[in-house]
Amino acid sequence: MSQARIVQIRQGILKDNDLQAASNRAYFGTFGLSVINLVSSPGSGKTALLERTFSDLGTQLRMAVAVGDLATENDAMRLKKVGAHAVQIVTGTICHLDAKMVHNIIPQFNLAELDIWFLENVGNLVCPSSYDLGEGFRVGLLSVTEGEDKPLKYPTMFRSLDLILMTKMDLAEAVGFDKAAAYASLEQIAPGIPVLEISSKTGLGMDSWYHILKNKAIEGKEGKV
Amino acid sequence: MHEIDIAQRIVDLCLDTLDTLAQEDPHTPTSRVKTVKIRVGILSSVVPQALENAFPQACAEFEMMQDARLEIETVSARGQCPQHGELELDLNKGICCPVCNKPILELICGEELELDEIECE
Repeated sequence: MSQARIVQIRQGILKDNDLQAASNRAYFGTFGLSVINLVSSPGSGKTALLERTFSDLGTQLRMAVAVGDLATENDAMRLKKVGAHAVQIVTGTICHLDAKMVHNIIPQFNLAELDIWFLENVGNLVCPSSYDLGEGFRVGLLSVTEGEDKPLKYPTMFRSLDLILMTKMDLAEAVGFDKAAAYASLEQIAPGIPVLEISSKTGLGMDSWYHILKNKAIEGKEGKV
Repeated sequence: MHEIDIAQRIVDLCLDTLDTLAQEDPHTPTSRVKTVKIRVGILSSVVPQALENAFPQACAEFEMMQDARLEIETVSARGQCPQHGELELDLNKGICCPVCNKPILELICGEELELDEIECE
């Protein structure tokens, strides 16, 4: 008869993911590649943002995208139409990308030939906040149609971001968006976080976004290890 | 929804632990995990009830895990307010000082997602 015993573990349940993310990050560093994790709720304009970005900036920066969804290759198809090298990660029942999925998709890209690699996460403001992918920059989209208090409702995600893109600004007036209230929400959760107001449809604010991307590409190459 | 993934990761960690124990001490076999204790912060984005529901399914295919019971210790959120010191946060209000409503920049706890200990035999 074996003896009952208690084994202390005391370790993060996501430790394996964190280790894989660290390994991804180190690997990206060898190319000086800037990797951007795009997160938001579904329908806030991640794919539209990338469509416009690839159309406008595709000749100036070498970019590609891996896009996660539970089902369909629709987003990758949309992005291919604007000339992007886009690969869909179909996650099945899984509501987020994780570091292993990112690692596994790497062979489908020539990362050494890229300046920026976008990881368009599954639309979800909860689960993706827990999974480090190895990215260098995490960008969250907050669209004017989804409510000014989103940051207050999903604090863990909004606290994890490096930049907020306030999207669909062309609709702000039509939907009665209270911009001051949205900024107040962000200030409460992530004080001082940079925010860009943009519209992928009209092009409003896109120059500032492109400026950031160009800087990220340069920073990546300078930080090459 | 990622509680299914978290449950699988917990099971993987338990199996790894049993492997390690078997290698370290081949003469004291450990064949079953009885209890798995974890700590889940209320800001960890994990719903304890959903994790409890997902856990048996994650255990089902491993004989060593089939009787395992999940014990979840919920960790409340505490933060440091520059003016009022360390306080327990009220999530109905958000991540702000419950006294003065100023943003809390420094969380002391509440984001944990840890495997604490396992009891096996």
